[in-house]
Amino acid sequence: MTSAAKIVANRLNARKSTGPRSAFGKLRSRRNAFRHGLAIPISSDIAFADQIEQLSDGLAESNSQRGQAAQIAALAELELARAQHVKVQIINRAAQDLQKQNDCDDEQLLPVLAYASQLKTLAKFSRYERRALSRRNRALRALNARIPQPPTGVICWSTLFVQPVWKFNIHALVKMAIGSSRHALGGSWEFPQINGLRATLQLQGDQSGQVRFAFANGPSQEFAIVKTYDRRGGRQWVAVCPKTTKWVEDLFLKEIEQSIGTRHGLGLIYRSKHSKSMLSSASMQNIAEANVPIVYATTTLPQVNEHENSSDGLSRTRASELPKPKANLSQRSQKCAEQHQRSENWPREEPQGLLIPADHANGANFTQPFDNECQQSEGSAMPLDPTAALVSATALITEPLASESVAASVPDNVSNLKVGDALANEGKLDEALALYHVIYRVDSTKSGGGHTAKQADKALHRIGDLAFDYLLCGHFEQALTCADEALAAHPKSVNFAIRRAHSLMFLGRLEEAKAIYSRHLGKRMTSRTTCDSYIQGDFWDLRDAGRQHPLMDEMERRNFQPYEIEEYLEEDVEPLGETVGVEPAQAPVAIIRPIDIEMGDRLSAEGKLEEALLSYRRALRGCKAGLAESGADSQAQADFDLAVRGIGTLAFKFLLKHSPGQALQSIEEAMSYRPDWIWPRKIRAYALMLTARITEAKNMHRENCGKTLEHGVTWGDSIPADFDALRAAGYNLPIMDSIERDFGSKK
Amino acid sequence: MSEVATIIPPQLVAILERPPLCVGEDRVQYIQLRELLMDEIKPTTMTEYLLAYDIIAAEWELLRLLGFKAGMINAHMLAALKDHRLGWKSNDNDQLPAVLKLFRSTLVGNSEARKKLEGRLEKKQLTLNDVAAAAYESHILAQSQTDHMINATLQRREAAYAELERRKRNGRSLSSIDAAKRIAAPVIDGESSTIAPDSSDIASNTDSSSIAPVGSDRNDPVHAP
Repeated sequence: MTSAAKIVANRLNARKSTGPRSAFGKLRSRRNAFRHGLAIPISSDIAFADQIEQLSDGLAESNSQRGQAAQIAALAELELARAQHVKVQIINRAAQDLQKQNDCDDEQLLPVLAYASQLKTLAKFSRYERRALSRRNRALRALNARIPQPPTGVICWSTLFVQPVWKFNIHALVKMAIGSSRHALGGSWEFPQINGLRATLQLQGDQSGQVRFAFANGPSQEFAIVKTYDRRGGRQWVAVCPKTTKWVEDLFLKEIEQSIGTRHGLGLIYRSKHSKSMLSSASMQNIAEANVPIVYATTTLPQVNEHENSSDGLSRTRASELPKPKANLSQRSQKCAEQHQRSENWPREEPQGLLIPADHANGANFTQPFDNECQQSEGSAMPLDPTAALVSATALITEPLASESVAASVPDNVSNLKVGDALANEGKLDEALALYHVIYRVDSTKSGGGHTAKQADKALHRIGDLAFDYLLCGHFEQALTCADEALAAHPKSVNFAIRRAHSLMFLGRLEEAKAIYSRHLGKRMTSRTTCDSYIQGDFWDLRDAGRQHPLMDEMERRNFQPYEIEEYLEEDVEPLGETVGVEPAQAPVAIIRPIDIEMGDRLSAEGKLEEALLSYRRALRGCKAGLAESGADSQAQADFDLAVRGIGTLAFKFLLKHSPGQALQSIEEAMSYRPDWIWPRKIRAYALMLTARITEAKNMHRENCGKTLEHGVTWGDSIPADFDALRAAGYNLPIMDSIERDFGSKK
Repeated sequence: MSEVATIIPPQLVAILERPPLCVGEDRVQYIQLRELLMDEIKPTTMTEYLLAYDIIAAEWELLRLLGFKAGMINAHMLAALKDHRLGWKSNDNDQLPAVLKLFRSTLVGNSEARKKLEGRLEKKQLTLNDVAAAAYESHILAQSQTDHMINATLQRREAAYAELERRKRNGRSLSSIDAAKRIAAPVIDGESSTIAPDSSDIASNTDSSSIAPVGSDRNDPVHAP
């Protein structure tokens, strides 16, 4: 152990030497720990400032929207150059030392010996070079990332409704801009003008943003865009309805009225048996014409400089000139609905696919042309020809597979599920189902497992998927058959069971449907999907296709977030589409209150406090309007109080999130609405304490200490619990102990 | 020849006008190599210029490291001669100054000195290769580390070429890049000829056991450093 005398001596000695005293000494000792300086970011070195600026300007010249990437590339490039220079400097310095020490008198061997002496240090430098190089290359790739070719279906002429409108698919719109680029850094893009309408998409780095529609001589409308995840876990962009804050996939434009909005916002009504009578012959003609010319943006979108207004550089072509994309769910349901409409409203035509050539009808096997079709469709992105495929497929249907030899003679490429998918996408569900049956029968009768077994299984899954398409079209019996068929093979499949429940619900077998729903509610389907969200998503899709049922509303009220009930009320329209079993008296009694307040609660629970605050404020506005109209309406007053309570509760959550300023603002807002309530004063006292207004905080405690808050809890009783929560959130101030001691009750 | 070609974008001049050169490296040779590669790659955009600069820097570093590898063997040959495993006895140490002189002359390409040295070594039943191998063995760790650095540099160069090719695939012909690669090919081959023929044998290019001085041929851009 060190003796006391030694410790004293050390201290005395230390006082004598306290480091360098002269300016030069200090300057030199400052760099004692300095080795090579490569770990220091080059941006902090003023000597490089001009070079960085010049280089980043040069790199960003081609695309001013990507200045950030150019800056990163320039920094990394200069760091790379710096590392190379430092390496050489180390060798040169070592050579100089060798020369001074007369260790080497051979000039040629001097750098070699210097290199050998510094090899260990130099070997470490490759790390810095490698990192700088990776960073630079990544930035260069981002800088030169191509804006992908636009997918089709961004803007199209929708004929789903009584009144034809333009449809903007938000997901496709965003995908057009940043779709395949993983290095998208945000920016601004312009979309084709439609009769003077200019659409501009602005995205931030987190790929959320807004889309603005501006008419040439009229108002402009803005919609927020949010990135979310679809039911299958893929990323999806949706717009936020400004009225209800609900997420919508499509926005619509009524060209004549120059207004853009959601389906409900614009009061669009689906075409159906019900609405057919509402169509004049002229509008029918328009719709019939509008079936074909779907307008797509086809050229690369220009990324717009904020400071310059580039003109519309996009051209439009007809859909027939473009390769058909694989339809997504909404497109598919739209096509199904269109097909359904055609089949319902116009005289049913004999499908071309059923016109079987004589040789096929006689049971002949597939001919070469069909094989070629199948091969083409398998390997290329060219659109399938479902009609040609169907001709051959129907031949199989007409001739039962009597023997294994017949089954074996069927070529492998007949099991082409893509043909069936194409038919389903075209809305020809019956034909698709027939083809899937053929594929299933053919492949399941073939001997052996492997590929054929997989194909059969896939066909069965497709049949199960068709159940939902049938539901969208209103063919509930067929949907039930498909679901049953799929379930027979996969009795544990949740999604097939849910689709069966949907079918049963629409067929009026409510008890069975409810039993299935209740069996699955609250359970998890995948790691990211729950049955609840799956069912709710199905309900949304069904509603989009005009199918609704009271049970859906009931389930949503009980289990899920209500579906645009507010909009139903506001529009005062009759139930949309083909409503099954809905009597006017049984129509859902919608209440405005739960939407904004419940949404506020939900957002608050999710930690989205700012959004929750907005939601509560919206609810307050609605309640105030209700109170002004109906006077002392007890329901409106109760809702008003609920909203105020929500804001007050948010204030405490803001405190826990270390935003005392916002907490103070919120609680004072709540107190302005209900000055008679005691408990908001307590939260205000906390907020004052945490904003260093100690005296005011103590005064408030002093004034209210001893008062009863709610449910018999006194002011002092609640302080310890609140402070525990605050301490858990990281507040640990001496004033808290003092207040707790002075005003809080003992635990 | 101007140090910085006029075609280089002004933003890059600041980087390119100060090439990282070690003691004994020739700036003119560096610029020659740079012009040669720039002529072949023909960069057009800033990004391509950066990639071309990567290639130039990697090429020069490869030459330097390969030179160091050979130089380390040359520098330690005399020390290796003293190694008892080669049979050099302590009473022969008085011959060392003369042997050293012969070594130096051999390194600068004196064939007469080389013959004398070989004669002296033969008396001890040794060859130049034996001595070089002993020198290599004594510094095998340094050689291995240098090999790692060479590999890293090679990868960097190949990556830059690949990126250039990718960028130009849809535009210009690849012939120019291929040509640039062809120029670089002897450098890679050079690794295996660490002990290269001396200047007198360059024409015949047959004797692989002869010793080349580090940077003996200053006019050869490929073996410049």
